[in-house]
Amino acid sequence: MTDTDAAEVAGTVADLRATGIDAGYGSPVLHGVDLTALDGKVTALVGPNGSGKSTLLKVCANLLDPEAGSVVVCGEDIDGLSTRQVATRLALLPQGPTTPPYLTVRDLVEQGRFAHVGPLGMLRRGDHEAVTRAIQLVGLEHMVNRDVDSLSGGERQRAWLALSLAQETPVLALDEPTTFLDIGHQWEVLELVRSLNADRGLTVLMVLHDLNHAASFSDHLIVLEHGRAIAAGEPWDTLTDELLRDVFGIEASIIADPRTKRPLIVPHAAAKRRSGSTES
Amino acid sequence: MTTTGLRAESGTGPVVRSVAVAAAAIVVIAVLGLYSLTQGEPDSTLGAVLDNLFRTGPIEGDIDSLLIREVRLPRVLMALIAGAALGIAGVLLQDSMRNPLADPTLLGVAQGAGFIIALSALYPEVVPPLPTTILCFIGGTLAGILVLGLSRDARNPVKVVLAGAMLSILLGTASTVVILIAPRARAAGVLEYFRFVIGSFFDVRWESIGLVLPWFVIAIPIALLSARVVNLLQLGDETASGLGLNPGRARIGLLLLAMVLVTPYVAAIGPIGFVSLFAPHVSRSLIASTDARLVMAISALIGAAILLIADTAARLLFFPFEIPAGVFTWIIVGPLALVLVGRLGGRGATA
Amino acid sequence: MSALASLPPDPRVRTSIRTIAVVVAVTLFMMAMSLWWGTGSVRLGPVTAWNALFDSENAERLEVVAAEARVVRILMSVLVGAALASAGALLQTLYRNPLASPEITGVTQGSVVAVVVWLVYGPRESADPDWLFPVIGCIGGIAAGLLTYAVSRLGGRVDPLRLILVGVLLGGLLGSLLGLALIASDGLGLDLISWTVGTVQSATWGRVGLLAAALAVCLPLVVIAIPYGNALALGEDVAQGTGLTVNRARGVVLFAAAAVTAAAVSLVGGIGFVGLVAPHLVRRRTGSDLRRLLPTAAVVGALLVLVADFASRNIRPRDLATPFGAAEMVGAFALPTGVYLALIGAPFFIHLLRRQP
Repeated sequence: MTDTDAAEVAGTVADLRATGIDAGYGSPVLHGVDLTALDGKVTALVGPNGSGKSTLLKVCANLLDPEAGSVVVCGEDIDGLSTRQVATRLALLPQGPTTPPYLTVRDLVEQGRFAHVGPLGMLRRGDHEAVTRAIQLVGLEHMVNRDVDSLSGGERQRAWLALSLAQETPVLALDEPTTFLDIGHQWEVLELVRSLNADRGLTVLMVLHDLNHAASFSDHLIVLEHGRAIAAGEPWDTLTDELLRDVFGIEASIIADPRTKRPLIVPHAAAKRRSGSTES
Repeated sequence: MTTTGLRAESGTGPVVRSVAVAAAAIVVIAVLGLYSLTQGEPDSTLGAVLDNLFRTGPIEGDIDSLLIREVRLPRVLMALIAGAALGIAGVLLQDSMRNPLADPTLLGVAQGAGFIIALSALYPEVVPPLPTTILCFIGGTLAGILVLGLSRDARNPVKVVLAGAMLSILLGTASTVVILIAPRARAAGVLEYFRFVIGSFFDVRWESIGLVLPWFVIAIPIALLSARVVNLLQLGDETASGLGLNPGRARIGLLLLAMVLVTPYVAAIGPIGFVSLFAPHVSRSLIASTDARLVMAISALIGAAILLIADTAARLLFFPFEIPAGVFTWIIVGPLALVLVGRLGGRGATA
Repeated sequence: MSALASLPPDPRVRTSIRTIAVVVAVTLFMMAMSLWWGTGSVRLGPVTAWNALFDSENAERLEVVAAEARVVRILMSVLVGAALASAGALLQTLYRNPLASPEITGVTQGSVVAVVVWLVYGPRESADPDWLFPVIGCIGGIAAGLLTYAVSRLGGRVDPLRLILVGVLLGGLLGSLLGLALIASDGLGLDLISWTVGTVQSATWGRVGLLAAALAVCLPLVVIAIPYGNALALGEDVAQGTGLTVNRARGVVLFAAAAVTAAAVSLVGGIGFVGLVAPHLVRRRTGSDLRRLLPTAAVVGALLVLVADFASRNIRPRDLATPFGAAEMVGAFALPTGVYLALIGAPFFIHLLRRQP
């Protein structure tokens, strides 16, 4: 049954559309948010702390039921899909996942095939191939038998990314994939994501904390503030002096990166707080 | 946040809310206490109760006086003292360990005390001839120290609960071993042990109050004075030691103090489940503050009220049969505590 | 698709198989020792034991009885150990904590209380059938397990912390009830108290058959629970992201563990610590993946209970006390199997407590 599912997914447009999302944990966090992650593009979700980025990603990945609004993945409303069917369309890498001790990279990545294997959890040939491919894509084939918790931070994040890749979904959602990593590993992971998008046409939606990362690695930006999407578009159009001051609270110049010509934000000072936003 | 910001905040402050909650708790305690004193076989009138409460001098020969002053009053007092002590002990443990589930019920304190009781009941020659309260203190404290003191991450609620559960089983097995290897001639002690395991208010008399009162009188002022230390520990070990406190030593001291507050009642009335877990959490959410000074005071009153309710219910619900208050608190307070903790688990810890 | 370079094989598969082989060999040796050895009672050599079991015409009646009783105990120990260790492996994965074990689900206590209440308050018929109290114990255990799950589910999500708390709460409550029942039992029979910590003593052929049948029924359930457990081990969000319905999966894993536990403890009483120790002993060699961890832990669990029962049969507390001149302080009663398992479990408990998360 799952193989036909996969075939069915392959033929459609690999995008993600969320409309009018209200959601929260008891108290509301998101208010009528719209989000689109276009087929074959990298979309970054940015915003200050507590703006609802991770919550929105959870709603998109069906981890949190919204109170209002709908999420459509690859042309199908997520509400009508089983958890397994969602998992064959969209893979989510949560923020800072923890691994049990004595779990090898291979064991971890094999879990990505859960939605594809039968009820007894036996991996078939196709599953083994998917696992192998995923491990090779992240470049950990020489470490398959190492325990995940013995890896460096960057390698560990690549192992987790391989788990999501083993799901072989058209859409990949990442929640702050660079948290807890030093700057070299941050770039390593982001470049990997970028190349997966470029080489394999994956649609990527990721929450990013660092605006410069978002500007450098995404085709499309969505800015959240207080649970509302207040700007969306290409990095050059979205990132403006006013936005940086009003939403992120910094006075900054936006210059063109001399090499890539993408926007680069150079902060000068913390902005004076606008009146009416004293709540923390 | 600045102090001006705090002051500008409209609405009631924690102190005002504390006074309101305290007043409500005192009213509940007074009403229920008087009601409990009138109920029994035979019932007494409220007048007789008040008369007996405020009249000094020797007991008169009538049945009312005897029942109220010798049977019901010590019982009500025990419930109040034990409830207050448990409420305060809960605050001390939870805040100093920074673990919302640090609770004597979950730490195996009762089973630690039970093991010592089993030993002293069946092998009096190996246990020093100390009062039961002190024996329970030793046994219970050892259990608490094993779980909280030996655990490198006493802040991890799951670990502490699991460790407490496994230690309880281990200590229960140890008590069973004592029972099983004792020769037949000593079998009388077995009953004593099982009576202790169940716990009860049945035979609370003035002597039992005398047994626990010294501990109570000594520990309560120390606990209230240590509230500042508890507040410091809540800020984290680095901050606390930066401000001049040795967190490790302070924590051990507070753990011992909590045991002083808890174990005498384990000796006098048996294990009382979950009051010390429940009362502090309810107090914090009622007064919307984590200031240990306020929380302790309110938690003491709420603990007293809960235990009074539990004992009154245990005594009267299935009258004339009486279920042990310990069993009753497991059934009633346990699930309530659970709901509360469930809410903690699912976000909104300060709601 | 380009040809995939194959990945190096997982050395832990071989390690696991080798571990299982070694443990099975040791277990077989231990089974033989258990059959031949017996202080104070009949001592059977290999030949006598063989004759007693398979050629009873050439054996003394006493030897036949002793050999059969020992074989029954040995088989019971092995089955109980394997069952409890499997349940422990499942639960440690479900709760994502190496301190988890079947005792904290309420199942063990539920079963023990059901049996003790039945024996104390139940009708005193002249001869209950062999299967009656195991069935009662099993029902009590399963009921307690379901209650744990149902109460945890009241708040919506079934998170591990809540499952643990409900289990511990239920266990404590049942402990109080057990105390009430034991006080009501006249004479406080030591056999009844032994039952609360677990003893293989009451094994019969019928009961061994019963347990074997129950475990055979549970086996598919355990097999189904393994991939669920593996996915849950990675955390709720990841598990759901890979296609798992988290609440249902937790229910399946918990029910599999509860069923296996109930089957075992309803026949031997409140045996504990196998589920805690056995997975811990093998995890470093097999890894955390249940496909390797569970079967390896099961054979180690079987060996553990076998060793504990061997100790229980051959160690007499009074003999141990005699050199210290304390013989008169110790009764003639032999300690039940569960005591020796707790003795094995205690150092592991301290170790797990001291360990960094």
